[in-house]
Amino acid sequence: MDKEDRKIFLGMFLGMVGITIVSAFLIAVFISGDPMLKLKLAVTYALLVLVFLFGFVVLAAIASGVIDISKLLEDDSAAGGASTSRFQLLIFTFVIGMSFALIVASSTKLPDVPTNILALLGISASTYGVSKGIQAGSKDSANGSSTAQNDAADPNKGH
Amino acid sequence: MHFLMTLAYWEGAILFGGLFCVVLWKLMTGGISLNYLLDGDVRDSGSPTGFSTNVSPGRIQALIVTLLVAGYYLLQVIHNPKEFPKMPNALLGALAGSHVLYLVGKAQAMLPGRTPDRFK
Repeated sequence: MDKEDRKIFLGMFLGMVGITIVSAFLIAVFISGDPMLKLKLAVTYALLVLVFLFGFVVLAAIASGVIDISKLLEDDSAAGGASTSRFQLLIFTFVIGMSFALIVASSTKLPDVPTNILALLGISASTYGVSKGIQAGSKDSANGSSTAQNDAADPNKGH
Repeated sequence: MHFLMTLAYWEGAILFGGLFCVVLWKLMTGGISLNYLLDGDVRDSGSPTGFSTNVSPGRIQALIVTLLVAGYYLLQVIHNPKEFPKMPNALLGALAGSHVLYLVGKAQAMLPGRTPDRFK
């Protein structure tokens, strides 16, 4: 991150915090009622605004390409293409995340997550983890065998 | 308080829906590449990298089962959005079996030596 980018980032951060403080101040001044309730409302609205602004900045950066997600599904295979294990993890993360948001919105409370849904996510994430392990293991052994071949081809090495 | 809940709902919907749309849009336009999604590496001593790439049946079946389970789950949630759906154990078992098959196939194709020897 160069100096110019750092200045822009700092400006945006200060702007977002400023908007948050102003919104909290407006709630505290213009809403009438019990001071404790006013404080709760001011903090809650301020946090909502702050989370939205942070999230929106990240989303805008992803959409505009500042945050590069073009290699989101790629692994370090020989072909360099998309990975099935990453793709299935992406699908399940989105499906369960969106259903969680929908259920919270419909029932207006945090739901209990059943064990079979946790098992579903566990299977998906474990597949990704084991797949990464296999990939790394095969790469190590391929590097090891190529080093051994080079050593065998070079008669001066090790003498 | 009702307005606060509405605001939180819309905030979540915009951020999460936005992220979903951006990822979907990038997948559709090629911003996130899906090339070689069904191809797997196989050890090949003749190749300079030590691996060659072939279409993998294990990946195809894993992708099909994943899409089926995700589709079933989504339909259940849309049908009753008040609570998490009950996933049948048979479906979870099928998903786990499918992924194990995919991983064993991958290990057999990529790791040196016979795979059973590695687990002795």
